[in-house]
Amino acid sequence: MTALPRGIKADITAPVRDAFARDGEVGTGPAPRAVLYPSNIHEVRKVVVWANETRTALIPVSSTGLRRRGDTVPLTDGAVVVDLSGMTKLIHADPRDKIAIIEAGVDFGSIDEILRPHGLRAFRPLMPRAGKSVIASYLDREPIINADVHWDPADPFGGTAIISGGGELTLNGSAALEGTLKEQLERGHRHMVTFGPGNVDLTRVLQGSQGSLGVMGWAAIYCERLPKVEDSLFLCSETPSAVLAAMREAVHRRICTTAFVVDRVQLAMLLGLEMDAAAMLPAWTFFATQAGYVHAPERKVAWQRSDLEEVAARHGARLEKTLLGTSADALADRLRQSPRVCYRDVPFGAHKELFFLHPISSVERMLDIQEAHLRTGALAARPVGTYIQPLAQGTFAHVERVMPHGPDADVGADWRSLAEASLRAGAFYSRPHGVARDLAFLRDDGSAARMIGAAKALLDPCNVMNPNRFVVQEAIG
Amino acid sequence: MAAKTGRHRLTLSPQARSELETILGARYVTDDPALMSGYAWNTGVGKIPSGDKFTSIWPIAVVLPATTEEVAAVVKCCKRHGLSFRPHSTGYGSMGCVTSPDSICIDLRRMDHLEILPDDRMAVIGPYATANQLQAEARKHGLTCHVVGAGPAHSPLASATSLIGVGITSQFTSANMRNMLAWEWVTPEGEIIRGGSAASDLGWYASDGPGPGTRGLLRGFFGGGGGIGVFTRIGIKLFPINQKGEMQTVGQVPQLRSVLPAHTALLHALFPDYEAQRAATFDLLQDDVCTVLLRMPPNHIGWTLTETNAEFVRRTRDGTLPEPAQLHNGASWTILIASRSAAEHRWRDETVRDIVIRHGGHFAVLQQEEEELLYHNFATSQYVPRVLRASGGITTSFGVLDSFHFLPKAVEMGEMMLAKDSAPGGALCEGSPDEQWIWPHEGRYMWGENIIHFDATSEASRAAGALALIGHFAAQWKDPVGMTGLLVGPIQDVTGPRIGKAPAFARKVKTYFDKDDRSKTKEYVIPNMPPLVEKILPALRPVFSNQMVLRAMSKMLGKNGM
Amino acid sequence: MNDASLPGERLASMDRCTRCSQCKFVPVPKSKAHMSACPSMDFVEFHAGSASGQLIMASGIAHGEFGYTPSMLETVSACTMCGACDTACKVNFAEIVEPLDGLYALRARMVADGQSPKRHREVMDKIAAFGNSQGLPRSDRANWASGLAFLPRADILVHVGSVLSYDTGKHDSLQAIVRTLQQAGLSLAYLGQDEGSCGMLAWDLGYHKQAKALAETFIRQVRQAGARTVVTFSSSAISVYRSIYPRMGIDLSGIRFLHFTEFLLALTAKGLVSLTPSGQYAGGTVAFHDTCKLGRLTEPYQEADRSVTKEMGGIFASRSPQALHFSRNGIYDAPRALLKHMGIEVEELERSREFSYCCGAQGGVKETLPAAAKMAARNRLAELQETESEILVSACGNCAHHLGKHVRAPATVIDLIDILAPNLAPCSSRETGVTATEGAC
Repeated sequence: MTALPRGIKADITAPVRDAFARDGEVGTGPAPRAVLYPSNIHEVRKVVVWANETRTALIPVSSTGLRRRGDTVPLTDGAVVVDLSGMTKLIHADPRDKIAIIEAGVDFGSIDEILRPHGLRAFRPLMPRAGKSVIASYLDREPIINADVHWDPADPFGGTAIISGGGELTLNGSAALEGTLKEQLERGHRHMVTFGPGNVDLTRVLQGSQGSLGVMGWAAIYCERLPKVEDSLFLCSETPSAVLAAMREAVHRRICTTAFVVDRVQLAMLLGLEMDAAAMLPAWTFFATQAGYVHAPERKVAWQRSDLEEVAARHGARLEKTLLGTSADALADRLRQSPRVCYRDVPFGAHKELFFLHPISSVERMLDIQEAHLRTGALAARPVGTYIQPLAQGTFAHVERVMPHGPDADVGADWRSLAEASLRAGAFYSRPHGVARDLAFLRDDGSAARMIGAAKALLDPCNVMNPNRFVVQEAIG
Repeated sequence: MAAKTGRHRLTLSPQARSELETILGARYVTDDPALMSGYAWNTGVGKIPSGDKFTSIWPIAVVLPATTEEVAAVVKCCKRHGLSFRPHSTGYGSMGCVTSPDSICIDLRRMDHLEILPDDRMAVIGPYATANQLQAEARKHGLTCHVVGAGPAHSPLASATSLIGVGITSQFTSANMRNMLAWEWVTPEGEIIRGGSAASDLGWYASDGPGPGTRGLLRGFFGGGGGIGVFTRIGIKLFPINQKGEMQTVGQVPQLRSVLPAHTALLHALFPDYEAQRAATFDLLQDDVCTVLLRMPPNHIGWTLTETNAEFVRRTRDGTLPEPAQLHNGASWTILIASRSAAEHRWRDETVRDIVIRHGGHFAVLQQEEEELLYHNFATSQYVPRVLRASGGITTSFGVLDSFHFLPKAVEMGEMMLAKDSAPGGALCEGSPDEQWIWPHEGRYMWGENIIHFDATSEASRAAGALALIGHFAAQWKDPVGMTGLLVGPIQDVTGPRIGKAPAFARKVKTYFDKDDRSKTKEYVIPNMPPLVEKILPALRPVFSNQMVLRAMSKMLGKNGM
Repeated sequence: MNDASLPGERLASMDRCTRCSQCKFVPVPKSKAHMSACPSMDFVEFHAGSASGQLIMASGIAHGEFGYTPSMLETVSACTMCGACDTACKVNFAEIVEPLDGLYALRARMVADGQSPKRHREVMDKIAAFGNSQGLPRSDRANWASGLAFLPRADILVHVGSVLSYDTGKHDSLQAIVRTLQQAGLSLAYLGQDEGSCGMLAWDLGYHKQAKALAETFIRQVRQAGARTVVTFSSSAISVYRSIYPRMGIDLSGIRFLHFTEFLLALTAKGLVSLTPSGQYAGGTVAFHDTCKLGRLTEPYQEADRSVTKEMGGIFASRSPQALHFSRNGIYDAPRALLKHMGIEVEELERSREFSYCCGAQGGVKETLPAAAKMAARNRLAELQETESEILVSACGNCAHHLGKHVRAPATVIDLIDILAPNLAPCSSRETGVTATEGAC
């Protein structure tokens, strides 16, 4: 067996290794032969170069706590985990340009604390757990809840530093500049551009690759200024159409910062209520936050509120400031907290999730099909939540179904059946995790497989990065 | 396969012609030199022609496919006959000109699919759905598209897939490299590949997945430039506006104007200097208070506000151009505020006014007709082709993408490159000391490009234009003003590791998909470059930066075109 | 053709084309379906079909890049010379390219170089032999006027034009209108069988010398008839009178040229004739087709130094900006006003007035490339579908005839004279207090 790279902190003890042989969703895989802890991007590069020389499979991991979705569980023997969770530096933060540069190990549990002195906070997905790496989340195109500033799936990335699978350090976007990062920052550069440079956009390629193409060492990330005034509302209805229409218009008009739609099950989970309480909540809720940052913030929020009320009235959604004793502002605060345990696991200890992309205009039809499927199957009696997150400023949506259940519940096959029905109905599994790992490619006309093969050949020619992560790679063999 | 004729032209073999005619129908295949001449015209945005505007290299044939399958068949036919190809959409800026005499120009004019999906604020378009068509259809639903810096007759698909994608309204319409959704692409080998949701036949809304965002292999800041196959269809994001339906166009040619919709204001703020403008800008970018911000050099505002060059020249000389068009008023923003409600508009308008005044600025007094003219040009981006009106010759600088921190420095560099030659008696056309067009993207960062305005009929002026252009790169190497946007073609390799591994990676992509370099262009990386040359080229930067070398290169470009 | 065969200024203008493609589109399209400004481009599809493409071909010939080819001649033949490119181009380029003048120059050089397409030559032969492009006998030219009496000399000369003269379906309307004018007390002269081609088509085809000869003949006839006002029913004629004859150096002093729509409107205003609500159409809505010749191409040509100077280090500035053509002063309002007088609402097509789309009837295309002319007509008629109207009215006999040939039910195309004729009536001078001579002049 080849020696581990010199000068990099390593752990080969069984408990540590075994912890990476499984996660909260998939069963046991082969345990890695070691866990390496590089402390900066240069050490990461050293590890990747070593892996290429020794043909060692690497599994990059940046988050801590209970991982899910299987993308950090090795699929081959003899792999080495590269744990970046110790790389937690805030390299730069700048309220003027609303940008920060962070290392890969900075997590949602800590980022707002470290940004607060700079008058900033991070864009977040829906209630991420504390140990979730911010960069890992963005790399996985996990949807942020701030639909107004989600222009493109690359958001909120600015310039980045990536070690490709081949072991090359690439500076991407506007990070591709003369001099060291320190020198660049001193000259006033802020790495605010994610695309490029030149004819390629490696940040984008790496997004969604589940560690199979390279490792991001640090990234500039767009941030939100700390608002001076923030006001949240529940817009409710008994049918999804009213809240979806209201949300779509509000997002298109950019009069909300946070904007998403949930059903009563999902809302109960977000509010930390017992599942039984869900029945007392409105069937559908559009949660909206409006914020004023610098200029006459009260007046800004006032006109936005007034416009939102008009939008709600037109689409038949009713406004509520409080639901079951929890105010919308309290939920907004809660959304900025990162619990140690995933909120979806809180009701019964475990959950199943299914998420995909879909045009907002036809989400209702998709939900109808899913509901029909659920009604007639073994899951009929179980609570299944719905979360609809507009993306790309309301061009399409992340649709998520969540079923909390007991740890021992045997619901895997039925959940897969729902995923298959959803696929038939038009679900686009852009992030092939969990149950969608293979389903994501069933409708592929061959293009995705071809392009993943190309990306792999170009960025990771020795196939050291998270081998066989995608089923189509297995097929390519 | 092909026989040589004079003047770098080859003739198509009868077999190749016969196959192309079978694929497309004889009507849509030509190798007639007269019919091909429009595809060998080296001019337009960004180009420096030679004395003769015809390129030295002509296509071997021009074809007009109507479907993706036909494009793929043409590409495969090229492969069979050892020919190259170059896709061509609207052909502005001669980006569609071939660069090898064995290239077939694939004119995509017949592929003009356009479908608006208003509820999802997007459209599905083919390569010849031009921005003016897209905008017209989008407006019916209260939407608009991003119009890039080539004006309304350009192809949004081309800008999104193959070129740059920035444009004056980027503050609220982003840039087309970010507005591109799902995509369809014919590889240089003739395979049809789709990306995002289109690959699963699930629509054109999602750009990436399943899995990696492989689109990033095909376009970065700059797109494929025709060097990596043919893009045939994309989904593209649209942007809600505060008016539904046709533009209320008034006035007469050439000064078409548009009536400002309700709750809309067009302001022109003037600042005492660029530091004040920068400070104000950081405030103007907060809270999304402005819909569009554009800094045009004063003389370009003058071109917009006058109906002929004769009027512009006369009024420049007699000093009657309005305040924004006077050369000393370079530190300025034209600001569009487009609101939907009275309360919103009051907040925006008062906030903007307060910020400008607070930073020592004031507002120019504009006549209603001037406001309407500026608004019309904002809404349609008709400004941009009009930039060529004065002399018929412009090129543009490297492009700056970075924090507005660099605004004064960008202007200073613009002046360094232009002031001497744009002053009366200089080698370029007379104009502002700098000719930076500057605007923000998405409320965050700055785009700036210094327009170099030369007399296309004068070799000395063309050479001065070329010197200013390449001088920008040399200056940037020495003291970067931000990410260099327009690193097109070989200049990437000379810039070298400073921009990461992008050229090397792009070359790998090129080799992977197009090892025989069938998809030929000068606007992509140099294909098949030996690693040693790849290493050496950046080391030559001091040589390329040398003033004598720059001048010699400029002279050559002024003579032979670029 | 060599470099010297195009006037230097004109070649320089052609060479200033930036290939921006604006000439292919109306400046502010209202839909994808009707964004095109150029029937030729729509037919040819290669860039060569556009004004830009033609200017580049002309430049290529001039610079010796290539010689004339059959495809080039056919491509040029697809252009209706409608001038929409010129209007669109000027939004971007004002005085520096002037496509229409470039197209005129290109065709003239093709003729000078012996490269005029065969069909064009045939058309010119017919004009020379018969006085009309259709080759119809001169003896039939005045058949429409059977029963009408004209004076050999009068202040007003009626000109009918080649199309209406031979379009027997229009003769009743034509006669009714002229009879009403006479009943209103107007003294009219008419050239009868001696009326020849106005020269517009000859000019469009590049036969500028022949066009000038036709013009000189006509002006001589006008002067012999003692007319100070020429009233024409032909949109080609009014276009050539106002925008082409002045280029030829012909003495036009003392002669005023009016289109019949302008004339009738003036007479209505003076109270010499009246228009009653149309029994058939009043209260209804029609769409109106602005004929290129009557609209943007009737803008009067001003004698001026039309060259550009290079100012401020390379800015090309017109020496006579006031004389530039911007399609502003064509005849757009008169036909609309007449329709309104008859109680008919006019609904605007998406491409109207100076941005109107050519129906394909002009420029020799109908005669040379019928398929191109048909496509243009179909494209134009498709625009009617975007309106509430099923009736398309044209004030040009040529357009109405051509569109009428290609229209599909339930849509119909109506020549304005057919609506005017039954609703036009003379008023006596006693009622109005205006004499016919005052009214007419």
